[in-house]
Amino acid sequence: MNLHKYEKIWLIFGIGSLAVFLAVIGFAAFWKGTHPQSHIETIDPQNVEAHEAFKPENLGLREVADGKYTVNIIASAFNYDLGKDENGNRVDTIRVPRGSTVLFQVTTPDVVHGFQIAGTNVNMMVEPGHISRYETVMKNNGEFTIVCNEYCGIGHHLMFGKVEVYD
Amino acid sequence: MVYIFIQLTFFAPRGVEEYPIAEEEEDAEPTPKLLENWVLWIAITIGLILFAYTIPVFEILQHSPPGSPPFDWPIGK
Amino acid sequence: MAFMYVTFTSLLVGGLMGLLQTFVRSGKYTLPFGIDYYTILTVHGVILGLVMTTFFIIGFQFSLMGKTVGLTDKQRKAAWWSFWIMLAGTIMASVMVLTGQASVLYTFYAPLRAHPVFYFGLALVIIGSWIAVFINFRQLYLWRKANKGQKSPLLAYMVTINMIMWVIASLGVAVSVLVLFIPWSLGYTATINVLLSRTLFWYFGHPLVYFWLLPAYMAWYAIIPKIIGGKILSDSLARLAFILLLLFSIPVGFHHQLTEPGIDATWKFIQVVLTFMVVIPTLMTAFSIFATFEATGRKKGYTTLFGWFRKLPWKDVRFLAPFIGMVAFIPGGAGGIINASHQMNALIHNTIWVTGHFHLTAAMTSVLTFFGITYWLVPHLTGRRLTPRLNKLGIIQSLTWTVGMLIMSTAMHIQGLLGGPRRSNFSEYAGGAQVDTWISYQMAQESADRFSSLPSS
Repeated sequence: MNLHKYEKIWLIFGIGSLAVFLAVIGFAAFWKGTHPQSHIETIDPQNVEAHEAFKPENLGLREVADGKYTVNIIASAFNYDLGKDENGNRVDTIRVPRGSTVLFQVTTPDVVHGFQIAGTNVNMMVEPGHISRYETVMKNNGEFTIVCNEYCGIGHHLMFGKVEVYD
Repeated sequence: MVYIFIQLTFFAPRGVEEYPIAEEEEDAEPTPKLLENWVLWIAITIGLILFAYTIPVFEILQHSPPGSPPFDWPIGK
Repeated sequence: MAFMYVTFTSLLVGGLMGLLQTFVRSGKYTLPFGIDYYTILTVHGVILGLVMTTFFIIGFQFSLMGKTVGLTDKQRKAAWWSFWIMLAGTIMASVMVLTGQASVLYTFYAPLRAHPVFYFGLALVIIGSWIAVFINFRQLYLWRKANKGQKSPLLAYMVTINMIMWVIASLGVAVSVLVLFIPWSLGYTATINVLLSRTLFWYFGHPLVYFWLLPAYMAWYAIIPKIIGGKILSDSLARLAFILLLLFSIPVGFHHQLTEPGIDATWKFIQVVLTFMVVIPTLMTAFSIFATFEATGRKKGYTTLFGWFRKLPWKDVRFLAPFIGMVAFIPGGAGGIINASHQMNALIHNTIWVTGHFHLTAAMTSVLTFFGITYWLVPHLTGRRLTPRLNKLGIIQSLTWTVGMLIMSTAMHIQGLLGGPRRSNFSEYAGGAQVDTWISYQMAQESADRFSSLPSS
């Protein structure tokens, strides 16, 4: 089986760029540690409160160190539980200063949800029985919408939250 | 499209529409026999699948959380 | 032929559903009779994504096999069985979807539970398709026995590759439906392993999209050359491309699950690498097609650099429709590389970018090629002719489809990059500037869809 000369050039060029491309992705993944969210920790979906992070009083934003925050969230149809404020009201916006490192930990007691903070790299599937975690640095200020991007039922499109990054 | 389909099915004039199957060049070089070694290619396919899936599926089963009961109400049933 | 009736009935229904969807999404209309957006979305996905494509492909493949290696009476009878079983399954699933008992979208992710009949319907469709698979295998087997030592006809070879891929891949979804979903939906098992069911689904889900693509490749490699008056460029390269597609179609499902918890990142990466191998047969195909065009043109005596290109049979819809499909696959394929990238995926995962992507690849590349095939296959089967008037109408249809899909898909890609989610009813979310930018693109999709679904209905 003979390859035509031009086809050889074309394929060498194509496979070459493929190799470069994979090398870049591999470099970013294994040297820089940029993996997609792949947290491996299970939880009982019918009893998420049993986990320290998802106790009602631990939900929402907490500063764990200077400039470092953790946000614990329970995603359920059709709502993100971001905890309660001092007055006992539902929190609907997470506010963090610019440049802070934020770890998002999300789980669900019911069906599969999505968790995407539009305009950032935070985009994870949230599945019953698993905890999804992603740490990111909020570099830009502004308002970012948290959307549920996996179909979870008739109220799916009403499931959202907000992250506000201020100076 | 549906209109054209109906036309072609029931109303277009009778005739014979060709079934266009292309032929090879007369002087084409012969195709290697290896390409029709089905056992070989199926074996490689299955090998690749086993390579890519065995360990992760095993891990999924090993670390599986308590299962999920069915949910009916979110889809309005 | 019977397969074709189902194909086009579903096109009509599915197209209408798609149109309704974008109306609702852009926030300008509300559905009557309390019908839910997601019911319609499920109908659109199941009917166009699964029913229309699968029926068309199996019908087309039967006709290819019949032409190249022959179909015995016994096999024809079995083929009818395959057809009726698939149809029964389709009807069962559709009724459940239409009555709102199965608004789970075509991916039916657990633990949302559809009515058990929906899952039984799916199982029947798969079983029916397996009958078709084994008929095709038997056809080739008998031919090879009768023609010892000869290479099998190219098209029969390609159909066989596609069916091998289908049968290996659908084992995954069959296990998932029969072992996990059916007992669970009937209440025999209390719980289901969500991640396992999703993994099995995507083990099948990616080969499924290649199952739509390979018949288009068949037409590009072995039918288009005839239509433009040329010859197959290289039989062996065509076969090699199909082999590579078989090898790298299945062990790649994790690239649909990149952002999921519970799967080790290293294995995700390994499957990403395997996914990218598909670039090689795709580039081979692109080369072959354009080399065929040029070789044919040169043989007819066009010597200038691009003279052969202008002289392609642009006025023949049997050529034009698939050609547009090929061109659409250039941005479609490039978008696919972005989707499957380990890191970039996080930017677009489950945004409407993905919807834009598969409207380019499935609705343009595959479906336009299928339309191109329909224009000669249907009259061939019914013993009629594609008249010049119908040819012209076909060209108008192809162009309108193209313009509509282009506007819609481009808007979807942009909106997706800005973070707009896929499969969502109209929502202003919390309002705010970010969401406002999404809505204008939503409007563009609506108008495009209204425009492009005209020729389809």
